[in-house]
Amino acid sequence: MSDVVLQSIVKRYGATLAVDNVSMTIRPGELVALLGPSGCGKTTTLRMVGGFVGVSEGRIRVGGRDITHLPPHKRNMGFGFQNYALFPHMSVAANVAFGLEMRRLGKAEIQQKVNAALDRVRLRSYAERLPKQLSGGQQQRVALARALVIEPDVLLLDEPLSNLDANLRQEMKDEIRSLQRNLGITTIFVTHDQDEALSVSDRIVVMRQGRVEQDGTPSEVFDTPRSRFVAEFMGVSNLLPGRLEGRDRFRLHSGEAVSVAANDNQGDQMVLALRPERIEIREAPASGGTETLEARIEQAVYRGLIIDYHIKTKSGLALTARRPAPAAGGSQALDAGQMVSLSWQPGAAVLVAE
Amino acid sequence: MSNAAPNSIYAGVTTLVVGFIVLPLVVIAWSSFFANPILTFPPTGYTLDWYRRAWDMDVFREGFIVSLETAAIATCFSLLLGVPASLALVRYPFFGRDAIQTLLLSPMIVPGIVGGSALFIAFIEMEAITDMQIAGTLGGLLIAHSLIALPWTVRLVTASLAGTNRSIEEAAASLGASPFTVFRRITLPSIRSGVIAAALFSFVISFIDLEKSLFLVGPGRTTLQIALVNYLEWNLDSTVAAVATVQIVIIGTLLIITDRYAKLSRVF
Repeated sequence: MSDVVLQSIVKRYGATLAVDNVSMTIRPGELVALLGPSGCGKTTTLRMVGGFVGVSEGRIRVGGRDITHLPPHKRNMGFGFQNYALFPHMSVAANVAFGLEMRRLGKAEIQQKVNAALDRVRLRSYAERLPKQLSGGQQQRVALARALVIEPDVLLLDEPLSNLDANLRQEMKDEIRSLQRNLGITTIFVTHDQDEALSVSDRIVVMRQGRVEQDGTPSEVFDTPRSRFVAEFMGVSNLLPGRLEGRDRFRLHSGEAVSVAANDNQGDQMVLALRPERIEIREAPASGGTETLEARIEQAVYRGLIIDYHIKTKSGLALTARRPAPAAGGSQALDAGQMVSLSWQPGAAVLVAE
Repeated sequence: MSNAAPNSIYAGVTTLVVGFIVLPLVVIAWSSFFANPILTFPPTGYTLDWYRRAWDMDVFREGFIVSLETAAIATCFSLLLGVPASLALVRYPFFGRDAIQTLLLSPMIVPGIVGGSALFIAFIEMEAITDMQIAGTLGGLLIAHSLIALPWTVRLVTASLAGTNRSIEEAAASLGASPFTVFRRITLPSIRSGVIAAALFSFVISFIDLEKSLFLVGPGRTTLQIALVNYLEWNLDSTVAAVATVQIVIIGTLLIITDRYAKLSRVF
């Protein structure tokens, strides 16, 4: 098990900065997701760790060893590619054996390790097939077996699930997670999908325009986004601009004042980030006590398990609230035109910089 | 509106074009069996004598062997130069890449006779400096023929490389393969058909060359094409037709094999 340390990594392509002063530490055995939209520098960062892209500035250390300028074949890293990158002219077994042959292991030892690796991904009976005779999910499992059989110091995965359909994606996600846990291998996982990042990783590094926007546990990044960008990327759809009045009062531009968790944030231009799931809707008018907003339901959008309510307050503030859809025969859903009162727990609303 | 009219015009034009190409070949093959001592029409009878006669003539037999040798060695040279050059052109962005690509393809554009005479003059100049004989030697001829074959190799191999998946090479590298091992075990097998097509095509192009070789052959080192031209200057019998028919069969076979590995129509 090795840790991976990125120190002030910069990647320039001519005048453009693809990666701009990125630092992070991945602890031994940890699975870190690099999350961000396309072009944010996450794949470039991963490829620099893998050695496929040169580093313009900064250092990369694995287990204390400086590998910044080491060629990829001397790094002992497993790399999983988006398109699997299986060798098309070799059988499944030969694909998995390749890395072991490069390490000049004996025939018997290679055979035994290949079998064990294929057993681990439940593809032993496919050993003699060619990659093109396998489904996408099977190909991905062969690619994983091939990357892991060399017992790499680090596993690097570049959007490993994006070419799979939804059902297979869930299955593969669990498989990657359990393989990673069982082997205790330090892993960097690049994805643009927040669900994927949340459910698979120990820590998420959100990237934007070549920089680290936020680095934290899945729940930190999900519940307390540090910026409007992270909030939006993590699926917060209510972003309400306003300014702080004191440490725990927030005046929305639309006029309402709401209380927020006490904080030391400064600046006039702040945004209140509020998940639609965290808004409580009551049919009855405000019962006093907790903070409420009087509002009217404009539209109810049925989405199966949930219903999205598009709501407007008296002052014209538009919000979305989300509630589980009532079971068949259960209580009535709310209708458009209905007056409601809205409230939320103080911790549910997060202040972020504009 | 019906497509019948345009289709029949298309079919008619195609038949005409194919006819123009195939008819002379058929006539040559046919006349190689004429019994007439001087090539005339109609044939008075049929014989296989011209084939034996051609093989018995030193110029043709030796010319055939020289041409085979030259084509085989030039093919090797063009692969040794062309495959690495193609790799560099496709894989690495470097200063002057477009210029070098054009330069490598230029022998295809310059008329053979111009290229041949230019090489001849260059060889003479080099001989004056180095005191070594180049023009009229096998070496000189090989340089010329490698040049003829190189553009085809570069074109076929770059096309084949452009279609391969770069990430399989990266995968091999991440598994511990050195750049040379990656090339040998991964890159080369995935461009195999392009390389085979390039080899076959280089061979054919070198084998059928007349113009570039014209100035560069020496005594006793004449290619088959030049032997044919020389013979035609003084003789008009079916020996030439017999030699030509053998060539047509060889080249036709190679082209058919080539086409199985790389659809030539897709490369150009």
